[in-house]
Amino acid sequence: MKGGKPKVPFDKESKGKEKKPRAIGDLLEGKSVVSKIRLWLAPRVRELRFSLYLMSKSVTSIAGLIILAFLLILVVLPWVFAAPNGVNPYKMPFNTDYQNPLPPGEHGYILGSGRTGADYFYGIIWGARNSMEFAIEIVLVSAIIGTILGLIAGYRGGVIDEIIMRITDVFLSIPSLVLVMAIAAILGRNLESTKLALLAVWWSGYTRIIRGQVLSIRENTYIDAARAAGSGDLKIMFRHILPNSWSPMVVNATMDMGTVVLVMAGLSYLGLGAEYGTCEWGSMIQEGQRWLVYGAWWMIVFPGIMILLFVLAFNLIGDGLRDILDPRMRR
Amino acid sequence: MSEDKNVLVDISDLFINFYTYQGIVRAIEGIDLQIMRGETLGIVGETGCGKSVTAKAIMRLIQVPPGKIEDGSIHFLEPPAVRVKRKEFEAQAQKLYEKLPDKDKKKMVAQYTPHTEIQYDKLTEKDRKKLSSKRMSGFKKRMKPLPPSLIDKIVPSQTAPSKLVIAYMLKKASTAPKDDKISQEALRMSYDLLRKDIPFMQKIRGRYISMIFQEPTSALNPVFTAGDQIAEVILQHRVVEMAKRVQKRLDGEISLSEKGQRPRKIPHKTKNCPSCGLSVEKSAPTCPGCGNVTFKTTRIKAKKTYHCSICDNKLNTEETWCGKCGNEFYGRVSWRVRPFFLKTYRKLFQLIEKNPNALYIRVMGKIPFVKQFRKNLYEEAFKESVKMLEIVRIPDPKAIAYRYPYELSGGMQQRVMIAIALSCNPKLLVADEPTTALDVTIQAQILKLMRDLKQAYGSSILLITHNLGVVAEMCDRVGVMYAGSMAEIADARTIFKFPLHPYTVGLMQAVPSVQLELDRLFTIKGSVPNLIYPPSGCRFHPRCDYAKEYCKQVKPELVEIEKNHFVSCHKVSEARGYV
Repeated sequence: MKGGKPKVPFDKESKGKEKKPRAIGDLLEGKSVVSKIRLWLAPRVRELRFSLYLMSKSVTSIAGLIILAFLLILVVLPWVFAAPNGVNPYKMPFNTDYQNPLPPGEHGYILGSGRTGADYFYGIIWGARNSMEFAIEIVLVSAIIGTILGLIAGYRGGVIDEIIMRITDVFLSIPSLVLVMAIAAILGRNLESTKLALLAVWWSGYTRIIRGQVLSIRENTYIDAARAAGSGDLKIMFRHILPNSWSPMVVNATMDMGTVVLVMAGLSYLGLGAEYGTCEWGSMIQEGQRWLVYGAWWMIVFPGIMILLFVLAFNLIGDGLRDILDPRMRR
Repeated sequence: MSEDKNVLVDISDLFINFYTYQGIVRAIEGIDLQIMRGETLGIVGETGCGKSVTAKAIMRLIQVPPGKIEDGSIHFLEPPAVRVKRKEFEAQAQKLYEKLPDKDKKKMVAQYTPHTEIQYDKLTEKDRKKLSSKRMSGFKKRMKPLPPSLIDKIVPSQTAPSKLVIAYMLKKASTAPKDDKISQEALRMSYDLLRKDIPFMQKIRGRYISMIFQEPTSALNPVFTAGDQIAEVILQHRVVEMAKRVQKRLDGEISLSEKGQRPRKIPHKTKNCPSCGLSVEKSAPTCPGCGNVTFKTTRIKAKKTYHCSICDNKLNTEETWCGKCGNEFYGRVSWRVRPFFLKTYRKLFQLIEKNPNALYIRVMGKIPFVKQFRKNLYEEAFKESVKMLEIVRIPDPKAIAYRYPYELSGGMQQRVMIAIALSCNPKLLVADEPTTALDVTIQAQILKLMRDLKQAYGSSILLITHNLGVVAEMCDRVGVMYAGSMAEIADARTIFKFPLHPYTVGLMQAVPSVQLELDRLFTIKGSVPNLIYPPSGCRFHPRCDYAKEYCKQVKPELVEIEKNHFVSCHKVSEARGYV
């Protein structure tokens, strides 16, 4: 504009809009996609940062995270370390030239070999992926089942609660070992039957945890407030109660990741899970104990260390999660 | 009671029991209460007098397994014509009841009021035991019918039992002419909240009646941001309005994109100076090239420098409109399909506007990716929630909307609660001790806010409190409750100047005063009785200085002593000659 600057910007006149005092909130708002995303992210990033800060205070959970990162590299990119063996990568490559186990370093076996030249390095790498798959599958499915049942039982109460919890008690009372033996007898000895048997047992624990949480959460005033605002039962259950009540279950599920792998290895070791030749650490150790008297230590030590690392990682992270998910720590 | 045309909520003969293991708690025994349009009604009383239960009963929020609304009616938003008709029919029923012989009256009372305390002529010890074993034992979910020997001893009340009246009206409704809509509605009591199902109540809650809770700290969900929680309530009840707004926005976009343009405006004209915090006035923007020709064909992102008027700090903002002609900048849209796409998208919102609860829309809202359309509605609702936060005078509402409840102070949280409650412009606002958990300065602010908003929105407030100062400040009328029944209802001024009920007098004396020098504060002797074993007759008699033998036997009724001044006390009504 020529001449002096007008005191009032003319847009005010042309639009008739009122100018309001600006503040931090205004700076945040914008209409471009980038600022929208930033706006959406802002509170979440704040929470995440705080969580990471809380986690970084404990050395053990950082150690857990590091171990998990190492394991995740194996899980996501196993073919970088060992080329997949044919159609089924979860079978160890064999070489019938070598009938007896070979120590680490001989004939290109990095971590030694088992009977009939089974590559233990390959087994350990692909075993990580196998274990992780197994653990995630079981924990996820049973957590979903447990959450839904626990939510219904805790929220509804009365007869429905009684029925669901008594059924849960029945499943809690079945020893998983016996169930696996029964299912293995029916379906044959493989990982699938182990999976089925563990799934049948595992969900009951989560049901109990969630139900206990829901029972305490539903007495809160904000549930009353939600009801007073006109929310229906389903909305209250899944939008108001569930996000408040699943933190102990998340901790438990994380720790269970390790436990599931431990149980799976144990069952394989007892001869109920995977057969020898599968990339499964328990069965690899089982084979190793036969050769231990002949000095084949590598067949037990390396899979054993992997199981240890796996269980340790998830237990340490679980402990850390318990700290950061504790609402009293957050306030 | 008064036949006012302004009645918003009409509670009559409300009975609520709680069936606990120890016994039946008779929490509410026969409450009559009216809330007028646009008034503030305060309810005071000690803890355990049933104030909150009354408030929750209006919203039907009482948990059903322990609690049960036994009897009564809560008429909400009843048109005056229907109300007058209903009163007529009730009077008819009353007349019929009065004409009955004594024997039939006793039977009627026994049949239609099994849950309430029935007045007996003289009870022997044996009868008492029978009563306690059969009727009073709490663990049984239902009370058993009375034995005939006890029915004989009933002293029938003068007013007809309300269940009898309801039965009479419903019977009459089936025979009444169906063309007469008003009398049909009156006879079927279609405005009675207690006869509605839960889905209907969910539409009422939050939309027409909403509630402010005592402790804002625990009444806000800790896992959602403040703006989220307001937006949720808005989406619950005002989807149609939000859908309309989305359509309006889409219309604008369609008309632009048909011209081959896309809006590139930035909503802020000024920004805050980062160092001094003051808003910076924009100097008149000048056009970098000149004229509209350039702007229409190219996207412009001219950066300009502005100066703070105080500290001369520099700020960069994006240019938004032409400095010469005042036109907004537009970028050209190369994608020609966009108008078509937007039009089909708008059709979806037309469908939502027609019927937001249709099955296919609910199903679509659940499918991943497809449910993205809800995000548009949510955005509008979020904008509205920011507006609500501004209305409750929260500074910097846009930033606060993204805050979690624990990041806010108590007063701020209570403001958010009020914003949630007012977001759908309710007819009745139930405030259950809204200021108890706050400090005194914030209390004053919150009360002033509520009073202002009441005037702006024209809604009624039911204010439950222990603080008589708050009552004096806020209320038009005051109801004093004691042990599940109404002791006194009057204008706020009358209650403070001329309290009549001994309990009200006691409450007024218990208010600490600056002027009087006292060693000890006045207290009403004793405490609120355990309502599993409520005192017979007048419930206040064990604590009353003026109690007589008569008070122990007969329950007093609420009598209009003066105009709009109701007292339920034998002493008062005797003195005024009402008995």
